[in-house]
Amino acid sequence: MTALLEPGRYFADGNFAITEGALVGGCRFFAGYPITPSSEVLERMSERLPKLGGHFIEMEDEIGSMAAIIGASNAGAKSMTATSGPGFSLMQENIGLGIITETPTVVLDEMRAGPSTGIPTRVGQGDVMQTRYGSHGDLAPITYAPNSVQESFDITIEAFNSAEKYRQPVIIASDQVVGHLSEVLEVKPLEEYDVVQRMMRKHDDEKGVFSYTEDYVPMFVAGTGFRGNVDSLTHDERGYPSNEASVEKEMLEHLLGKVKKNEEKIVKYEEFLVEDAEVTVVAYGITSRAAKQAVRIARKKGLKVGLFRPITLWPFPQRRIEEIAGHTREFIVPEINYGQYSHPIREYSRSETREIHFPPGAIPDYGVILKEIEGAFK
Amino acid sequence: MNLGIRMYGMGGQGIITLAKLVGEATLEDGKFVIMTEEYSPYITGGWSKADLVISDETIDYPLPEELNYLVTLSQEGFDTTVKELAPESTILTEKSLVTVPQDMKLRSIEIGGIEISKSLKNPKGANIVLMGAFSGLTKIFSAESGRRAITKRFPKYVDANIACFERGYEEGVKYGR
Repeated sequence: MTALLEPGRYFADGNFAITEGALVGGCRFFAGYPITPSSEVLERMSERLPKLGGHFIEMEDEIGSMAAIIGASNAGAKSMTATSGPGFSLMQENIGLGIITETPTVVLDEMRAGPSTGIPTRVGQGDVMQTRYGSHGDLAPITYAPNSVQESFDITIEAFNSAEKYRQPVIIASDQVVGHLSEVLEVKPLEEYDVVQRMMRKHDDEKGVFSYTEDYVPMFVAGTGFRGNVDSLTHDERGYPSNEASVEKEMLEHLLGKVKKNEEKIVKYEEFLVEDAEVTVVAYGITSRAAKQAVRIARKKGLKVGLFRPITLWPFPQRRIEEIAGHTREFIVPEINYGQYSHPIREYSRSETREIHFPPGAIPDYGVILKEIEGAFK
Repeated sequence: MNLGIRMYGMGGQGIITLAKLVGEATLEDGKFVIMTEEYSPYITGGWSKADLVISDETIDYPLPEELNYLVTLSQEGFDTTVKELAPESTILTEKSLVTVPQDMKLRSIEIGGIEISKSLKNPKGANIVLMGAFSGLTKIFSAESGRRAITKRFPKYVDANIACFERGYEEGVKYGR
């Protein structure tokens, strides 16, 4: 296949959808190191990219992979890597490099059971806080958590768009089940997809490499004659390093502010019967599909329960959670970990929040969520 | 309609491929289908399994409520899944690799997929023979959709695999109700 995916219906898995979504989103450079359960993305990229005029490199490790995609992006290519927990841990320092150098790129972290090597072939959701706080220093990450094959495709295109719009690495925190489950994928004609093109700087103007006042500064293409400094040290708008706290303040407020200011545009979520819910279940990724089943059954039993599904884990859907907390008395947060996303839910809802800890390694049993819902109505 | 199907075998036998083909063909017939897969972390020889849910409605929860069919190419698949099967389920086994106990209460059908695929000079096609048998037996997906799914997936080996599918289909039809 030498072109982008043809419109139509496919029986595909999440990894196929992410790969093809990335290509539609404009990805033309991939560097990675194979790791279950994300390896199919790398494998497919190795076959697809050269035929689309792109480049694929199998790197020596994940530190190098992250560095390579930052380099490629600065050289003008939309870039991506794919990994899972152990590799994602290795990428943390360079994710910060991508943030401070305002480099658009996309990182897929397909979560599996951890810590460390854990269970390579089985699901986990233990990296949720790592996608928020994993790299040191203050940062405002954008993290998407798809729950279906269709959404894996659509959200990957959106992740590439967000990376370009806000000039920073964007994380897709999928999980082993969503990556490996197969279901229908409907692909529209390509012209119906909104793809943000990279704005390139055409002339070597006087402007700095960065701007702390403008929303967006076009990037220059490294290696084509522009003069500019891209530095991992705290830097001013010209890109020159500085030891001044005032420069750190200016830079950091810009880095955090560009996401904060656009939160309403970035944040995405899906709701199911939340309007009149006395109890709201909050679930993401594969767990949300078990939660939906539980909510549906509970409603049939007359219990006023709803489901809030964050599609962007970060930025946190603060405004909406505060609104829901106005009419819901209790939140239930099932996760395939021992309590991560429940923390901001409790913090922002200021409501009673029950945690359900599904041990990594299996698809959550919706019966357990149903029981907890029933418990909340006793 | 809400059906649960398990495919089980050893890494290398094409179990995941078999499940994907069944899923693809069923989708082609206009039904909703979802498939989850699991395997041990080895390339060949470890266990490998896939579960399919087939429904007339959108499917949220990806695991089957109950298992109505088992297609297995390994004894382990039979031994581990048999207790999980719903009453009235049907089991399809690879004759040369699975021994079904004589006191078996569930309906069990043996297909010589390996033998048939060898006779058709497509020794890797035992999974496709089983796919054909499954179609012929259950009519969950049509032979036409099965052929189309195979053609899509193996554009270079269409004829050899269609031959396996059709022989399997003939076998399956014999046991169809």
